[in-house]
Amino acid sequence: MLALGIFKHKEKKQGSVQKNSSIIKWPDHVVNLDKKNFEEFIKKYPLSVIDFWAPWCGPCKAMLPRLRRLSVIYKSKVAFGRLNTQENQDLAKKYKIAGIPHLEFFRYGKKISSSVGLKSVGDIKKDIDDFLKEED
Amino acid sequence: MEMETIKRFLDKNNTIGFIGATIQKEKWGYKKYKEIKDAGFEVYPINPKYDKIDGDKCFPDLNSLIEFLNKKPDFVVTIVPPKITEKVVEQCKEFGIDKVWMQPGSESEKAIKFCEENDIEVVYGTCIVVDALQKL
Repeated sequence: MLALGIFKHKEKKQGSVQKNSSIIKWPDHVVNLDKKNFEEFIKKYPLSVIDFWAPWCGPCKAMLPRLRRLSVIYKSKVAFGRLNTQENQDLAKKYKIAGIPHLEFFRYGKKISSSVGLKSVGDIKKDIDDFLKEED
Repeated sequence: MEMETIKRFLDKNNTIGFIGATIQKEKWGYKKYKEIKDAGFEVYPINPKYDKIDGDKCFPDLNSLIEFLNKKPDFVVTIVPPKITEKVVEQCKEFGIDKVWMQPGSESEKAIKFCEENDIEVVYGTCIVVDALQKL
């Protein structure tokens, strides 16, 4: 009985791995999002990281190269996107963005975490690794 | 930085001293002051160069604002050179103001360290986006 239980659990896990890695087409860059593709993007991936930014925000400019680097490190594991809050104020309001840069973490569209302010690659990496561990 | 920190600052019941407000409409010292005011916050401009900004009484320093209000503001925003921010945080300690939001460019390591050593909650590396908080 116990062995059967373990077998079933493994079977379920294999199924979810297949869903995560082979069906999804992962982006290979930080995707520019707007109201047309935002919801679809966050719902599509087991883990997505969205950077809310504005062109006038100095720290936001420093965030982009960090996300680009992370998108290479986590290729096919995490989807990275960014949303210009100035051009997409409805979404900024929906997600209650009050300070930028602002990172939101989603799992299949469900918000799992957020952070405000410029963060180092190491700090963001730590958060991502924790969320990926939860997936396993 | 957690969202809770931002929420603690951007509570609509908070009174804000805005240090470095200006009449020059192209500058962030005007744009951000106006944005915060238009978002419905009780915000007071502080700049010794002006008597009025956008029709509002402008205060030469924190002390005169506190005398006018007969209480201290709940937090101050700095949008001034880092050297001035370093003096502002010392005044905050003197007046018992325990929250400072340093707009990017106004912060310095010395000012941040001073806040951390004196139990002043400090936000830096993050731009205020209160327009996103309207009509929630």
